[in-house]
Amino acid sequence: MRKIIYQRPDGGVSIVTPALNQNDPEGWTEADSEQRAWDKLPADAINPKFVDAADIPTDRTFRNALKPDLTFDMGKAVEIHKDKLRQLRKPLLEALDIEYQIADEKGQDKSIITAKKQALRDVTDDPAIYAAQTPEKLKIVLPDALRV
Amino acid sequence: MSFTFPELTTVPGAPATGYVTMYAKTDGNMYSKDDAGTESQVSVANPLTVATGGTGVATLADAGVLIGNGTGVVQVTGAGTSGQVLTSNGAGVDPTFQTGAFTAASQAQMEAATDNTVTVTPLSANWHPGVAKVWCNAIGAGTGINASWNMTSVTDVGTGDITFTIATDFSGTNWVGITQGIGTAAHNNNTVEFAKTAGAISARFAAAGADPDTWAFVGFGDQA
Repeated sequence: MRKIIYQRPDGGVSIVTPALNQNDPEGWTEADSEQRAWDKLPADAINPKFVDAADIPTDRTFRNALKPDLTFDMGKAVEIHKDKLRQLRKPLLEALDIEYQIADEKGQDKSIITAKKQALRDVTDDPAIYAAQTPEKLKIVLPDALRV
Repeated sequence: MSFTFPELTTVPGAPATGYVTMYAKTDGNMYSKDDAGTESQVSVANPLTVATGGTGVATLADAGVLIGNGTGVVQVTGAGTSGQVLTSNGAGVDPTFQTGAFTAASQAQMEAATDNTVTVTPLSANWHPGVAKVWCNAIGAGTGINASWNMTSVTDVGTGDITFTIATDFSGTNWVGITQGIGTAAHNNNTVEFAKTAGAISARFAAAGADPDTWAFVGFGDQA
């Protein structure tokens, strides 16, 4: 069964999967379901169209960067990837904060800890992120500071 | 126990006063003669009356049901047709086989849920306030439907975001919609309903940037 894709006013893309219900009347067809779904699209749906399900990317990593033409907005994909790096960075920074406090209390050298923290802060500015030209290449960018 | 009577070629005379004589004649039948000399044939060829333990009739209609009739002859219903039920026609009137008569509850009667004189049918059951009007089990990414009832579609709005669109809408927005994102993460089952109309509900999986494994949705309320 085909799906319906349309752009929302907020710029995002929605993909509609028509339903075949257990209580649909006898003789109900996939075409009937497609039409029913089409008839109940939101009034603000922009440029809705039917698409083959097989044409929709199955990798959900950058789903929120998907464009109506089923390619990806690399600018949005970069932001999604940076959010992912921030999530990976968070527990590492928290651990370094504790190490820093302990070293501070003991009067030890904190320069290495400080350098590690800075490296973590810089992971979202890694040039490899911006150099990636495709979602596939962007997806595998993992700065060294996050490799533990 | 049995008794064997000789077939008499000579009919006996009247017995003594206060007695009855039983005997068989050459015609093969049993007879009695009272003390007044009156001869009567004793026979069960005539149906026994109800008062004497019989039915009062010689034949009973095939596939009929017997009906009591006081001391009158037993009555029999017609056989009816397949699927008919024996139905009372009121006091003093013989019952008959009739097509099962019932009144299906209307949508209004089902929604009021107070009438005790009408019948719930497979169609009307869906209108009762206690029955889910819509339900759906969808793939966690919102990209497919595993099973559904009264749905139009599911919409993959984005990662962790889904909209369930209903086929037959509710009459307003004060219906109960329960959505659940089912997964294995720490945020398992934790979702936020963030938009609802008479015909749709949107939900968001609580785990940021993640889809659940599956979505479950059920709705209760008054349908349009």
